[in-house]
Amino acid sequence: MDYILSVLTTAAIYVILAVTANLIFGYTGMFSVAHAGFYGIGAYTVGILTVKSGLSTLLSAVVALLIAGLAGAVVAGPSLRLRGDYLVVTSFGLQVLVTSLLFNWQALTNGPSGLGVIPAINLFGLRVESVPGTLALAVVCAVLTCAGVAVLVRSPFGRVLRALRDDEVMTAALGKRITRFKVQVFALGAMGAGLAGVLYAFTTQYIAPDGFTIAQSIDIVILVVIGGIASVWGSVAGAVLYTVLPELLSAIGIPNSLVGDLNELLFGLVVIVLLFVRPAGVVTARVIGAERDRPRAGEPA
Amino acid sequence: MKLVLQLAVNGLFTGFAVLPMAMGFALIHGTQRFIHFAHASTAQLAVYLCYLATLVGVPATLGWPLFAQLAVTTAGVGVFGLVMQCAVYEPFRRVNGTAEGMMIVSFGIFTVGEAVFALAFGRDGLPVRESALRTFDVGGIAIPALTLATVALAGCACLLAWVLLYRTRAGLMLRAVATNPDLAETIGLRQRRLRILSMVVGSALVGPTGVAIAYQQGAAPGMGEPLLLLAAVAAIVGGLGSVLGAAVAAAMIGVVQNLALLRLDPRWQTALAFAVLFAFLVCRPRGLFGERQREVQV
Repeated sequence: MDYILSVLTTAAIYVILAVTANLIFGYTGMFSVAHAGFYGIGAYTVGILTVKSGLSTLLSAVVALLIAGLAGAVVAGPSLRLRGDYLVVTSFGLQVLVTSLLFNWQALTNGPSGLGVIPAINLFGLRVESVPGTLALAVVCAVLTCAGVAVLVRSPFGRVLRALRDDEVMTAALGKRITRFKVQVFALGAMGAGLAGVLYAFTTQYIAPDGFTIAQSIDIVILVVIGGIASVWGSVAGAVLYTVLPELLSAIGIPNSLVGDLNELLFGLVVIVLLFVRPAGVVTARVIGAERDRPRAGEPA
Repeated sequence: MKLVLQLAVNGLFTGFAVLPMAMGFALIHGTQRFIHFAHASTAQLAVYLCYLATLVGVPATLGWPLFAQLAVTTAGVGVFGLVMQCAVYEPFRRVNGTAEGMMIVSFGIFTVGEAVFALAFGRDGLPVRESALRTFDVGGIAIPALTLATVALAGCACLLAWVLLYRTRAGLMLRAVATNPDLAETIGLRQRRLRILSMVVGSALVGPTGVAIAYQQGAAPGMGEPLLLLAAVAAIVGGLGSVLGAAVAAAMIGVVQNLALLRLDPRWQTALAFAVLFAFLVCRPRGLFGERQREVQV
């Protein structure tokens, strides 16, 4: 029973990752492959601050969110003034940098052997330690994040985001400072990934660098696309599928040593096939890049 | 001073090993205008192909076995590029030809590739060469024969790329597509053929990179992504759209990364590549030899 609950906790954490990644590229059109990097920054900040510096759990969680958000803003700043390709490469750079530091900065991160034992989070005197307790915490955070993104994208702020995704020049012409908007969204999304990392660190109480690599970042992009971009429910579906699929694979008797690789293989194939047959994802919202490349009214096709 | 020279020599290896792959990335990006992320899988494949070539034939030594392995590897990754372009990218272009869509497809290819490599070769590193290669001693500076071979190979790759781009009709058309795709379309260039050509040549250029890296480090999972990062950074620093610019930038970044070891701990080497990229994005986004970006935002 506890095992099922812990799988659900992981699913809730992935929901947070997927929804915030969707905010960045589904709703705003900025492609980043650093989401697992921000996730790792969140988890490791908590790990290092609680284990090595003995800081209180709640305070270190707050610091972790701030650092993740700050990292997002710093990365996004210079590249967002330019074409999308630059952001992909810069975020890729940050992702590889984070992974290499997690592996090699032994004094701080314990390197490949990982960091433990991270204490359970203490919410104003309430220690969340039991499996159902952490599940409840993760679900509450996931629901709040989803609700937050859903409200945000329907707000005037969200309308600006969609406008600049679909036509940047027009949005700029309307007097919106698009770079500022983009940096804010990117930092917010990075913070969301940081939150996922914080939850992960407090639930598993042990973190290792191989959970935060470029492969993870790509998986997050893929699961958002499978779910359907610019759709909160789509991200929920994608995240749940991503966490439950490996469990199903091992349930039907595939040896554990193969499950991870088979899962990746299926996931990669599914996204390629899906893009061909149903380009808008399972929970349809919109086709990637569709509005932007359609000839506008009054323009020759 | 000796140390500086030694680090520079070490840097030459890193830089020139990545150089052909960086040119390939720049060529594909210039012609097709999307981030071909699966270029990392191509590099990973090249490393494993070199490993397989040493299993079947002679263990890796410099000399004629190197050429045999290079030929097998280069042909293999070239075919991989052809298959990718014809079986996935071209059909997908008719469904959704946006740069974002193409990139996500390449993420899919990358993910499938990682899984297939892990299933086929396992998660452990595999040795490629049996014994130490020769090292020349020039005034107290160790110059490995492998570094010389890598520099020579990269030089040949550069020369071939230059001949292709600037001395053939196909190259002229490739450059036309890279500079102005709309105009190239208007004057009736056969874009599909050119895209396929760019992918095959761009992928084949990963061959020398794969062989050099496999000779130095053996074959292990996860080798593709750091190489792709260096290649992509080199393409931006060299100036998007400039294939030879990417080559110059790759060599430069390799040397800079190694010279930095004078002051920095090796764990900051990735950070340094990142810092170079950042500096260029802030100060000179068009890179060393790139055209001024027309789409720079307000």
